[in-house]
Amino acid sequence: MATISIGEYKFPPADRIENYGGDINIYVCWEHHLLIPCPAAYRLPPDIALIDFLEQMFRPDHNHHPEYAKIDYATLVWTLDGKPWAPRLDASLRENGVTHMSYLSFRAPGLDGVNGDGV
Amino acid sequence: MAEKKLGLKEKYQLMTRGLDWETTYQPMDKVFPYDKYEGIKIKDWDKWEDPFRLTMDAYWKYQAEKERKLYAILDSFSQNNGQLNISDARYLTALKIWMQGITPAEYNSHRGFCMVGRQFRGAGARVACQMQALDELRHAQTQIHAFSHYNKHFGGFHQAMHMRDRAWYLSIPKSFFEDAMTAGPFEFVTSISFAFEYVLTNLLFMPFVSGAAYNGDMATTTFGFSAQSDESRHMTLGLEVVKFVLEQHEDNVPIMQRYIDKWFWRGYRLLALVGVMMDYMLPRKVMSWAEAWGIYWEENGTALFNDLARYGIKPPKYHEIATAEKNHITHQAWAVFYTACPATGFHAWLPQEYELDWLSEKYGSTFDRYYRPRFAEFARIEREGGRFYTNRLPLVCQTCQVPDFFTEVDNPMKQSIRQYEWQGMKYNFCSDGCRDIFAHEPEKFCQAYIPPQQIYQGNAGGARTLPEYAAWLKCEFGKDSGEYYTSEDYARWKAMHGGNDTTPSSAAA
Repeated sequence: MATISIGEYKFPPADRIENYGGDINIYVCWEHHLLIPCPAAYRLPPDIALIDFLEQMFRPDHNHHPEYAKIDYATLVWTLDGKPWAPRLDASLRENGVTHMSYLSFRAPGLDGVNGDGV
Repeated sequence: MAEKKLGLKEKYQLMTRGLDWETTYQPMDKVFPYDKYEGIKIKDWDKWEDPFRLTMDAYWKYQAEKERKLYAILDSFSQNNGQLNISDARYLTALKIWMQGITPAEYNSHRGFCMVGRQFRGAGARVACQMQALDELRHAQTQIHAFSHYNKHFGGFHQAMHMRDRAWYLSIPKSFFEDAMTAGPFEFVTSISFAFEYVLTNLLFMPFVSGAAYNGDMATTTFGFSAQSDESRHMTLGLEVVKFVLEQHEDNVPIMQRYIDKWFWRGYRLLALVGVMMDYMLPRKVMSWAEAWGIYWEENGTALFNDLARYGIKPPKYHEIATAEKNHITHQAWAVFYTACPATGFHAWLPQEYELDWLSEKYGSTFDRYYRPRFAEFARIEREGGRFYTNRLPLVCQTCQVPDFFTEVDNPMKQSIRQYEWQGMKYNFCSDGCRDIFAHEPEKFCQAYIPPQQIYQGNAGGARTLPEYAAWLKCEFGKDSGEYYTSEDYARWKAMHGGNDTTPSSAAA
């Protein structure tokens, strides 16, 4: 369906990639850890390696969590935009198929929140 | 001989339909160019029945009388330092969010009714819209006056209109009303008058005004009473609009059903702000969000849609999801407010012991299992001298603009995310309801002003960090935002009470 309007109705998306100066916007969620209640938004260059993103950007936001130090990146179980995903840690986001407005989530096997309660 | 006095009905007829005419210099479709393009077919505008039959002269008389009473009480409240009688200064967070989020929405509602009052060709509908436009303007003004006394003593009340266009949590009500105002006139009245004012308003008004009364806020309680008769008129208008349109033509039914589905869901998502107020911001509790949802939606809403079934209207899509979420959303929302409050114009805190127990009692099936442990972990961090604030912007739903704290109905540990791809770009949503609304009108919702994206694009005064963003909102940490128990509000409240902490120890009024 299309918007019913009184004239031509065509406008560019407010968050088109051109507005990000070469960067992309992505969302990342550490599942089963709701101390941070919402998936987090990041603006970053698509050529950053996944491991660099995790260490340089994601870790500082989650380091306060008692379980973060126990994460073994090699064992993470990922989804990208809702589908199972097996990224290479040393490859860039772009090489791993991440695009503008992608939603990444992961579970760390064995880590289910403080006392296993999802926190 | 004395002149014959007109009866009310006769007077109403003369003052509404009697002032209307069919234009001849220009065709009616050019004079009223907006009331056909949505596809709604009206065969006879004279079938519009205004249940109140209020004329303008009577309207002014009633409203003037109410204003006199209201302002007498507001004056007395102010002269007698009424702020000292509230239950606890934490209560003010509810008023701040109302002032920042709902009062500007009342004003937008005023603008919307001014527009549709001009757009309908039926005189009865135009008069009803005119009065509601005036009511909404009056509500915005009287709320500002009722809250202004608090602005002399507490933070967060000082820049409501500035914040309303900038703050992430205020884009929820802002986008709701702007979506309605930019739709056709029939969608506007269905969204505001029916879905919001008729179906959901009890969930907004009742807890807020009772909450004010339970928490000793005479100013806001009096505003509530002064608005009550207007609200009942608005509710009646909402039902009349829907019945009138449905009776006019069977082709209107699917269009109205879609409007009802969309606006029920948008209204429900907006009400998360009210639910969290009831469960977390009122030191003295009225009832829980889950109880209110049970009474005002599950009971009353079901009865209403049983009535509408004869027109071929079904209960709104996804209402069962809303009901399934009733034991979760307020706890999830408060965790967001608690962790993100430095980037707002209000304070947040961890619930007191008596409140945790009240929540356990009211939410036996979910609170102890899913949410109490989260508050316990926040409390551990506080005990060790910290205070957990998030320093990252959240994923915000493209449709309702609520930060996506929602979880799957069958798994409260898993974030609920939906995606939709349109013209080569991905959009993210909190729910099937919001994704469906987008999918129907992607050209409209792709333009949404989503705060985190705008900040990252550099459109928030260049702010990249949350403290820079808060400064752009004109909010000062500790004064207007951040933790309550280290705030200026708390210090001032204690000073007003001889240095004592007067935090209540029970939920009862």
